[in-house]
Parts: sequence; C-alpha cells; structure tokens
Amino acid sequence: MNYWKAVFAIAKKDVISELRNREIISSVLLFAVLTLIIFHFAFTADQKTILSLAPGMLWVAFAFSGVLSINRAFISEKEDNCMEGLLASPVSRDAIFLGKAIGSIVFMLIIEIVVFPVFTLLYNVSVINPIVILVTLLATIGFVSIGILFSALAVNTRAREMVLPILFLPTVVPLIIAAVSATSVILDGGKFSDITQYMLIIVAFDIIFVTVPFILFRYIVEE
Amino acid sequence: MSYAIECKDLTKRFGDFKALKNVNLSVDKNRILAILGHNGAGKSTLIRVLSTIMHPTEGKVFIDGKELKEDDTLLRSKIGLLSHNSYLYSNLSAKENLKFYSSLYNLKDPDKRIDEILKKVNLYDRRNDRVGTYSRGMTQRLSLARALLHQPSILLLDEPETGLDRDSMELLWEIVRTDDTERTVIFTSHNFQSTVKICDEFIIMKKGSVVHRQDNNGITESDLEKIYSEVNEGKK
Repeated sequence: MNYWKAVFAIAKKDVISELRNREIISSVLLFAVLTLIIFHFAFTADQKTILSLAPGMLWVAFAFSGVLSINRAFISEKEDNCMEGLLASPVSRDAIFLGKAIGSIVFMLIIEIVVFPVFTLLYNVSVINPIVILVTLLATIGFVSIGILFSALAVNTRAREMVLPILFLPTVVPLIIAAVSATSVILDGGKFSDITQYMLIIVAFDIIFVTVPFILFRYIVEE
Repeated sequence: MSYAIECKDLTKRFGDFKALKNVNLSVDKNRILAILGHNGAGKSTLIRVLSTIMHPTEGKVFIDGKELKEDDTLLRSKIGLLSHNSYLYSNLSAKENLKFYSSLYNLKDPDKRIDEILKKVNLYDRRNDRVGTYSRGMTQRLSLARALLHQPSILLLDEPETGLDRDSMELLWEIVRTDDTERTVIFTSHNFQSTVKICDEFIIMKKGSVVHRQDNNGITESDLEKIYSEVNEGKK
C-alpha cells in the first residue's frame, strides 16, 4: 500500500513541478510541433507518399521531444538537490524508478495529445485512430522506462544533454521501428490482426525495458 | 538495552582516500551528541552514512540494535535528516513539499501534522507560497519541519546553523529541544557557543577518526575551545 502511495506521490510531484515550470512544457511542445512543421515544408510530396512517411515523421517528433522531457526527470532533482532526500526516505529505489517513469509517461502523453491533432491538420492524415493510439501508448511505456534509466545515468555527467540521446536512442531503435511499422500498416488501412507481430515486439520490449531498469535503477542512483 | 546508534569499525573510502577510519561510536537513546572537527574531518560523511545515503565500505551500523541494510525502509523511517541541502522542491509550496514527504513516510492524518509542524517553525502563514520565494532562514526552518515531519526517533543535523542569523539559530534549537517526540539527536557544528548549550556529549573528529569523546557536564565555551585546540594539535 505504502509502496504505491509513494510511487504515485513521486509521479504527481514530478508532473505538478514540470507543469508549473511553463518554460519546459512550452518549449518541449513547441519543439515537437516545429519538427512536424519543418517536415511539412521539407516534403512537398503527394498524399500517398505523405501517408508512407507519416508514421516516421510522427515518431521522430515523439522521440526527440521525448528525449527532452525524459532528460528533465532527474534534472529537477539535481537542481533542487533533492535526490538524497528521496534516497534517505523509507521508499525502495524501484518505487522511485516507477514514480519517475509514470510521471514522465504522463508528460509524454501530454506531448502526444498535442502532436496528434497538429499532425492531422498539417498532413491531412488522421492518426487519431484507436489502434494507432494503443500502439503509441504501448511504445511510450517502453520508450520512457528505459529512458529514465539512462536519464539517471546521464544526470551526473557534465554533457548530460548530449549523453542521454547518444546512449538512449540507439537502444530504443527496435521499439521505434516496431511502432513506426505498426502505425504504417494501420494508416494504410490494415487491421489489428495485421500488426500482431509488431505488437508482440513492442510488448516484449516493454517487458524488457521496464524490468531491466526496475532491477538496475538502485545501482545507478546510489553512490 | 540497545543503543540508538552504534557504529562498529566503520570505514568509508573514496578511491584510495579514507574519509572514515574504523569509527566505533555508540549513542544512547534520547541523548544529544555533537560532532566537532575541522573541514574534511569526516563529520558530514559520518552523517551521510548514518542517514543511509552512503553505504560504508567496511564495518556495520546498528539503529536501535538492528543492523542497517542497504534497502531497509523500516529503519530509514526512524531517521530524520537535515543536511546542507534542504531537499525541498522550489516549484512547490511549503505545504505541497511536506505533503509529498508525508506520502513517502506514509503518515496517518498528514494534514494535521503538516499544519502543526508549520506552526512550530513559524511558516504557517506562508504555507501556500512556493519554496523558491523563501529566504535562506525560512528554507532552513522548512527543511527542519521536513526532517521532523514523521517524528523520527533519530535526528541527524549536518551543520544546521549554516547561513542562519542568531534568532533563526535559537528558534531551530528550541524546536529540536521542545518537539514532543523523545529522540536521539546527532549534529555537526563549528559553533562552540551553541554546542555547549545544546549537547549532552561531544566527539571531536580528525582525519576520519574519532579522537576525543567527552560528556558535557556544564563545560564552558572557552573550555571546549581549549580542548578542541589541544586535540587538533595532538596534545590530548
């Protein structure tokens, strides 16, 4: 009981704290939308080509704005020197990991909620589809979970803004490829049964990307 | 009867450097122990090891007779820590910060306790203001409220007077002494005046070792200064 109370308290604190810092949320959202606008002007292609490029463009926007938001997960603890306060409290390290991950997933979902309609408006491709949303949600869980581990690792390095994407993006490539492929099939008129193999890959990576940080997190945040 | 805190052959290494060298220390329950020593003597490292933020390289720590393990959440709930850092989130209000920590410490009826402790540190009127707008003294008082929130039986204070004016210092010690809970207090300090007033006993650390231990017994500030100088010059 106390475990989950602590997990949700950490997640809630992170979300409130980040939303109050309007500079962060607005710059991350602006970055995601700008990425889509740049692609819009870069690719002056017909609708069929746009449809084939759409999932990739969508995930480029998610991935790069996601890196920015995941980077924040521990910077706020570092700026306020609060990490030791968390470590000294009677909360297990994996509860801290889960709280941080849930907080960042919520933050990333906010980005996705904004990006989806903007994308639909710019490219005239409706990505607001229950299966696309499910694919995005599942991929976000794995993406953020492993990102939190790398964020905790990178936060104490001098060039943390550089270190995180260098370590993190190559690791999540298989997950992004599976999400892009699944989204592509659905936007092309496919059904859920057509993306089963991609969904299995996403779920498998979710399990790995949640379990591994859950176990390793304590070794990274302690001395 | 078990000690509130007991260290056995405690050693902490950072690479080749030994910050703590075979520290053996036992503190009875409900005592106030002051840790004195020059900068780099190992005072803060000792506090950090006792608070479980750091793990000892060698040796053992016992809290209420139970050995402190790496992920012992139950023993950690008995400890309150006031460090150089406030551990407070500048974007959150005083009340939100304490509410957050009350969830981590699983407090029953947190709102009542939060109001009570905020009144005690004279911050009740500013409870909804963001901590980022607080002065150093107010932040330190709120940090003390955070450390005392869960009514710990052991309170660790690492140079709690840093940056405080005289009034704030007096208020800080008054709160520590008059809080209802019976507790053992261990604090580090460079201030001999408050040390002789507050502590029941004191130790002096030098180069990672405890080199002197003495009961207070009404010692004066000048006596303490003399002892401190002699110990550090190696005469005692």
